[in-house]
Amino acid sequence: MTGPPHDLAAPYALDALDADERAAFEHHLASCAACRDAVAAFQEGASHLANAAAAKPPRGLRDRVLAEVAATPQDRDVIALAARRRGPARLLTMLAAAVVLLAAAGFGLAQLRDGTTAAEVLAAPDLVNVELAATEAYAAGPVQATVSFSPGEEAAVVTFAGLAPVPDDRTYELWLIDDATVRPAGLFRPGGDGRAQTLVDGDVAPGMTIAITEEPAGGVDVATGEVLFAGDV
Amino acid sequence: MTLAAPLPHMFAWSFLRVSIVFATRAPTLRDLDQLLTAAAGGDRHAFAELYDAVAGAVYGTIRKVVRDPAISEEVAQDVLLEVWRTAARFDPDRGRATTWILTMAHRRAIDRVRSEQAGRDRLERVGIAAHRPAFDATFEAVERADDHRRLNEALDVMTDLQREAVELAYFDGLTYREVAAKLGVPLGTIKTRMRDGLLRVKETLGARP
Repeated sequence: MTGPPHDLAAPYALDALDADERAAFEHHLASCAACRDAVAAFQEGASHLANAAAAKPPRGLRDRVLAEVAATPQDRDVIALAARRRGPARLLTMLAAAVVLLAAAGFGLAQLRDGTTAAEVLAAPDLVNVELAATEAYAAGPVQATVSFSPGEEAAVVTFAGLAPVPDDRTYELWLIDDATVRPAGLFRPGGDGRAQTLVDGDVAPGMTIAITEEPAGGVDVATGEVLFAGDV
Repeated sequence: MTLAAPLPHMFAWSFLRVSIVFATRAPTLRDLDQLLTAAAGGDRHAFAELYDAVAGAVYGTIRKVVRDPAISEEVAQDVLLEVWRTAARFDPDRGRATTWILTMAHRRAIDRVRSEQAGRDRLERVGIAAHRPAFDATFEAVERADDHRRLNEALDVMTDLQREAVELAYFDGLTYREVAAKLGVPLGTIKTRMRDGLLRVKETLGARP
């Protein structure tokens, strides 16, 4: 494909776009498979140049990196891992399929929303509370994040205390993940006191993973932010 | 050094340690994919082996862009730790581990250079960039001659015009708009040279064993 913005794939792979053009092109990439393929090919070409630029690293770098590695927990990127568990299917394909599933399930979800409130879930007799773990990507201070799950209601509520605020043009987004799908499960923003409570939008079954990312206001169908919190019910 | 002799020249030094420890062959690209996948599962030995295979390219690339050795080392350390931290995001169906890692390294290097240049007048920045020391100045003095020759060979698979556009962007850190302005060439021409140059590098160097 040629012409703007498709012809920016090579400059993008060379990191030769300024910040605004890079952001705009990455937005375009999310919806243009041809450009994703082109970028992958150009990045492979660029990586040959990077390889050819190899130089002996400074003495001591290896020991420092490995020492840091031993002390650094890894991001639990549940969205990527959930996709991997499913097999060779590409995450993007999977997320695209997830959107279709969501649309198909829309009627059921709307019924659930009408039928169940956060208060009803929290009053369920079979309620189970699970702590959500903050990942390395969540840089703000101490926070308490809890999922309250009712297997009987097939519903869950997440509750936060001490959650960092998000700018007006951003939102937190919930993701509901099982072995086959990653589904957007609602948006929320904390109040001024750092508290937030929201019903997970979707049928929740035991073993599912609930994850939270930060996204542009209005939410996205395909996660773009890093996973900030995650936990299994 | 005899152990390293039969290995591909590109990685010879970095594989030396692995060769001594394991008395085995150099990892192939596919092996590196598996090492990164294992590292994503928390395998620190796999990560150490991956380090030995890629740290030279990571550091060399960053050094070429950033130039200052101390800052380059700091950026390289950050990148390699980020590889460990975010390894779960690597998807072998979408590309090679080396590409994933070196893409991350290059972007960090460029972002570091740009952030240090932020606040300067953009036109002035082009001028300054043009007057940064070329390969043959201080950097060259400490650079091993065979490193230099190897990079030149890789860059030389492109035509002179392609090489100029790609090199100004990839190693000197200019945006394609700045490259076009510096060379007095239309934007579309620069984009075409970058595209054709990268494809030629991919086809030529990707085909080599």
